Amino acid sequence: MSCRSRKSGLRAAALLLTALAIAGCATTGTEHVPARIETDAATGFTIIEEARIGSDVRSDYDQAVALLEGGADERAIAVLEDVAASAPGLSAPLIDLGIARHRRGELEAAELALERALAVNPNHPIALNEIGIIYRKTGRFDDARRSYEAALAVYSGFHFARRNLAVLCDLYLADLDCALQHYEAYMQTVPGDDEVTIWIADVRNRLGQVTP
Amino acid sequence: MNRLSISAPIAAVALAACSATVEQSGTLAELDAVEADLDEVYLEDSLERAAESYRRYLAETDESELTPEAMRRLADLQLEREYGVIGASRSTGGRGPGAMQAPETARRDATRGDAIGAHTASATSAADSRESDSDFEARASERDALLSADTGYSATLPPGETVEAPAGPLEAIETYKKILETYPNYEYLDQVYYQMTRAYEELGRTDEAVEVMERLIAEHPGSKYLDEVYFRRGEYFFVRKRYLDAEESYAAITRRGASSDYYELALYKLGWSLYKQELYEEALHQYLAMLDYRAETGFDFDSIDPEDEEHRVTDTFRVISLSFSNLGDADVVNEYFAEHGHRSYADKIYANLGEFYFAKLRYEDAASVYKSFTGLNPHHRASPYFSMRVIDIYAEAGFPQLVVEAKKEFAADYAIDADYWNAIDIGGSDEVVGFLKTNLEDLANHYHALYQEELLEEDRPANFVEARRWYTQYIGSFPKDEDTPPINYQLADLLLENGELDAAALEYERTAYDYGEHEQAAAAGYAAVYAHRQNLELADAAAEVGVRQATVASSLRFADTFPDHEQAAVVLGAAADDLYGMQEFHEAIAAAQKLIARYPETDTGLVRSAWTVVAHSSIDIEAYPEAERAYTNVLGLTAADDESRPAIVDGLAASIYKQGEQSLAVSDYRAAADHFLRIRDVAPGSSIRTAAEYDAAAALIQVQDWGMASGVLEAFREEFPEHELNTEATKQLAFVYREDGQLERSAAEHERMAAEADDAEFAREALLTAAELYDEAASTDNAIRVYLAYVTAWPRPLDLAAESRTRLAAIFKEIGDTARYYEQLGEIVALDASAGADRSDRSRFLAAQAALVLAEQRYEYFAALSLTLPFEESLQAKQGRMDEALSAFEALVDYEVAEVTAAATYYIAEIYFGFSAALLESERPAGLSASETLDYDMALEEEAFPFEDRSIEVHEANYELLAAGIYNAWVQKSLDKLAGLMPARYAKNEISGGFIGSLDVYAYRMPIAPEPVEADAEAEVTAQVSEAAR
Repeated sequence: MSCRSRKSGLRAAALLLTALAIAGCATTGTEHVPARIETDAATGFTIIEEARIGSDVRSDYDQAVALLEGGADERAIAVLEDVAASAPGLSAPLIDLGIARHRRGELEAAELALERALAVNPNHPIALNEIGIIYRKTGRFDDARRSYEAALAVYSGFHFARRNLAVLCDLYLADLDCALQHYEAYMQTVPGDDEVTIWIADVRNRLGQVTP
Repeated sequence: MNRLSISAPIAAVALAACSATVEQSGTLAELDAVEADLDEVYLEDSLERAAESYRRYLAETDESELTPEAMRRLADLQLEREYGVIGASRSTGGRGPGAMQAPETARRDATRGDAIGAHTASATSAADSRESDSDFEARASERDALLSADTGYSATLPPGETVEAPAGPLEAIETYKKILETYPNYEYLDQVYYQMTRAYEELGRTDEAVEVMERLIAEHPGSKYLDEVYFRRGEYFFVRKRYLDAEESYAAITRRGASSDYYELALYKLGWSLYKQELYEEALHQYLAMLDYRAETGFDFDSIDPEDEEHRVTDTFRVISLSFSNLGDADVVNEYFAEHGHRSYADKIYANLGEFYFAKLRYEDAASVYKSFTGLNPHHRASPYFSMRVIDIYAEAGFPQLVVEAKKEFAADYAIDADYWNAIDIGGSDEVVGFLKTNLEDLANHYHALYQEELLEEDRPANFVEARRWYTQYIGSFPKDEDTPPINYQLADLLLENGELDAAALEYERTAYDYGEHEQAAAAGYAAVYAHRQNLELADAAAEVGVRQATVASSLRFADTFPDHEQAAVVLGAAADDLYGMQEFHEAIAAAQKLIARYPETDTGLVRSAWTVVAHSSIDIEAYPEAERAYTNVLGLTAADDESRPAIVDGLAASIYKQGEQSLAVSDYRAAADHFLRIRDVAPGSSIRTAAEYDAAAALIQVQDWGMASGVLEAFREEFPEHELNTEATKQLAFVYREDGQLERSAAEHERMAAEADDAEFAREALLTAAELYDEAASTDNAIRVYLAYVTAWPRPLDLAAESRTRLAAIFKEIGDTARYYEQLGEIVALDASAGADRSDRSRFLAAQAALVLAEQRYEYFAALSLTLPFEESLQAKQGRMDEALSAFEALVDYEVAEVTAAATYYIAEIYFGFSAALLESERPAGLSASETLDYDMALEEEAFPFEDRSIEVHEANYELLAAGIYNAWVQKSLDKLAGLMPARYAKNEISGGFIGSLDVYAYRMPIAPEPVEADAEAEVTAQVSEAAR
């Protein structure tokens, strides 16, 4: 069996098999397999990271996810810190940690966690999008724009970053063309978003354009 | 007895042979020389029996040609029986009657004129001062001395005087006469004559003897007895002072030449004969001819032993001297040899003549003779002896100046490098070299003594030069001689006496060190040091360094070479002192340590001084542990009440302190502290102790031993309350407490510093720090107290005053002291407002912040008032509060602090919005109908909406700060407000991707992506799209 993952569609079984294959390689060999991103223009992208961790760590992570979903952010953060320490090569616990702290208004700590995640996986679109929001909230609009654009460079259909970049241009950069461009691109991926449809109308209005 | 029994029977038979024997060896001289016959009785008996046998032969035998022979032999036997054996075994050795027993003569004391030595002793032995010239003449020229020994055959008998005649000789004479008469052709008639002369002479009938001699001479001119007979004839005349006749007889022999056995003796007596006639030059010819003969026949003039040798040679020399003295002065001898040829043995003649004059007390002549010889023969072996003899003669004569001059000449002529030694091997001239040494020493001592003579003050320079010259020559001539060291020592003494200290020192050193071991070496070594030290005392600045170096070098050499000298320790100690003075520290230490090690039992002062040198020098070379040990030793040797003790204690402390500094240099702060603190125990009275303890604390601070550091500093401050470092100690203590986390104690020290400081700025800083530390320590009351003290005392620097008041305000806020909180805010605003030119960005910022809080008070005051009935009254009050608030916030804009401006803008917008809301929510009048109420509400709305619009405008203005690059919480708050007021325009928020939820794989799926063909709920991982919370 090849250790190289197959380039395939988003078939869950196939993905699972790939993930298992990586784990198998990890346990049998010493070769380091870096994080990688597989994209599919039509559907999305998949991020695969080697998880050389014990079952207890995996279990802890699962527990943290459950706590987050239950809104027990403070406890979840404590567990995630432990998991991140046990599996420093994985971005997922750090990204979750960043989002949790962000949710608690701990912008500095959130930024720190996301920076650690990006150190593990510099092109991780989720991490780039999350840290872009924090940059915006702390007035670092240019940094925010670069982060969103970096995420979109990985996968242009990544609608979170597309929408956030449009808002940034609209409210904070006063760049209405930019805002219109990205709102419209966003609409390509989320065509049913009525809210954004209104925002596009607002922007066109402010640009002096007639809404089509 | 055997010999007798054999000889007698054969005597007659062997007659012919016997006669032959007699012919060969029998002479009168031999008869003269016969020795005492111990077997006389036996001989007498044998001769008688032999004679009897001849008688019997003559009586019983017919006359034959053997008859005269038998008769002669019988006569000879009769003579022999009376006067001894003729022709005994003794041989003359070709010298005729030469072998005489030397008479017992008084010799010149060998020890006298010792400088003359062998070269003059042999020549002078006969010049016995106790034998007068006349006695000498009598003895040296008498016949007896020449021809007789112990027989009665004597020429000394007065002429005509006879002794009683024995029968035998008379019978023999008759027999001889009978032979002459009876046998005129007898072959051995000359022998018969000869025997007759002997018989006559023995009987004292010399005239008859001479007559017989004359007959022999006349009748037998070829006889072998002729020489002797001539000689005896000469003697006969000489005795009778018939010197001319004697001269003729002796000359008859000398004319026959050296072949004659009597040649030499004849020359001698011919000389005397001429001498007696006062023909001295002619006499000299004979004497010299005799000596020439001796020289030709190998006589060794240098080996004359006056005890064993005949007197003739020595007597000859003496008579030669007599002759020369009679001819004139000392020059005569030179002239004689010039005219008559030089002689190899001339030195003996000169010596004899010299001694001759000397014996006559004619010292000048004596010296002149010797000097004549040396002048003519500068390279002769005898010359140095003669020169010495001249010195002796002058000494004997009592001519001290001449002695000195003579010695100087000697020293010049026979100096080691003199020309003389090119001719003469110095290796075989030990005696002369010995003379040279003696003379050089004498000269040096002589001039040295003169130099020391107080009465000769004026001559001192000259005498010094002379003395030095001779000492120097001695030393140069005999550099390795065992006698030289004392001479060298004396030269050094001379130089010292003359004040030439440097040169003296060098000579003393040479004496001490250049000759190996000798008795005076150590003393000289010490004297060298002494001379150097004297020189040092007189040296000028330019010379001092060099002299001191030389002094030290000499001292060290002395101490090393003569460690047992009683002054060695003292000298070594002084050298160590000097070396220290010269900053030769390593050498100084070495010398001092040597003293300490070598002379532990010497004077305590010396040892102490040595330890002191070690101590001081070790400090200079930064060998501080060694310095400490040395100072400790010095201290141990120093009395408690010694006035130098404090300085030593200071030195000890310094040595330890320096060790501390060394530890500091290598960042070993713990060791440094230990050293610094040791001073407290070891040298508590030292002046450096306080500094050391302070430095100990500093070192402890470096190792962050806060507890120990603070202990040291506290003790220091307590023990030295007036010390100048006290202020620094307080600072250190404040620092230590702070670092140790004892913030409140540190704060207290800072307060103390502030109180004690002379410098105002320092005091201000200390007070501020005290406040900050109290604050940090949560010692709130103290913090408030000190901050208040600070801001009261120090309104400037403005920023710090404003900061302090800001912090003070915060404390008041924290403890809920609202009144004082707002009071401080007011103070801050006032401080800034009144700052004038001092106003700074910081003070403006802090004042703006404070003013914002104060303005917020106005906002709260405005917001808190609801519009109630009676409406007009309430409205007026609300408007009044609104105006106040607006005024307060609008004033904030003047601070030009972006954040405060944004805040003020936000609040202004909120005031408008609040007023609008208050209108809409105001208490409605009671009793209004529905329509009235509707009208009333509409009227209110009309009044309220403009305020709402105004609020939106102001929020938007705030939002527009973004375009100017200003973004802060107040801008965001305005944006948030606008989102509520104009959601389509402003309620646009970001969205988060949501939690990952998977460690290994994350799959993002676009919302528009088609559903997976093979959906597997278990394996499906999708992004959770969720709206991010605002």
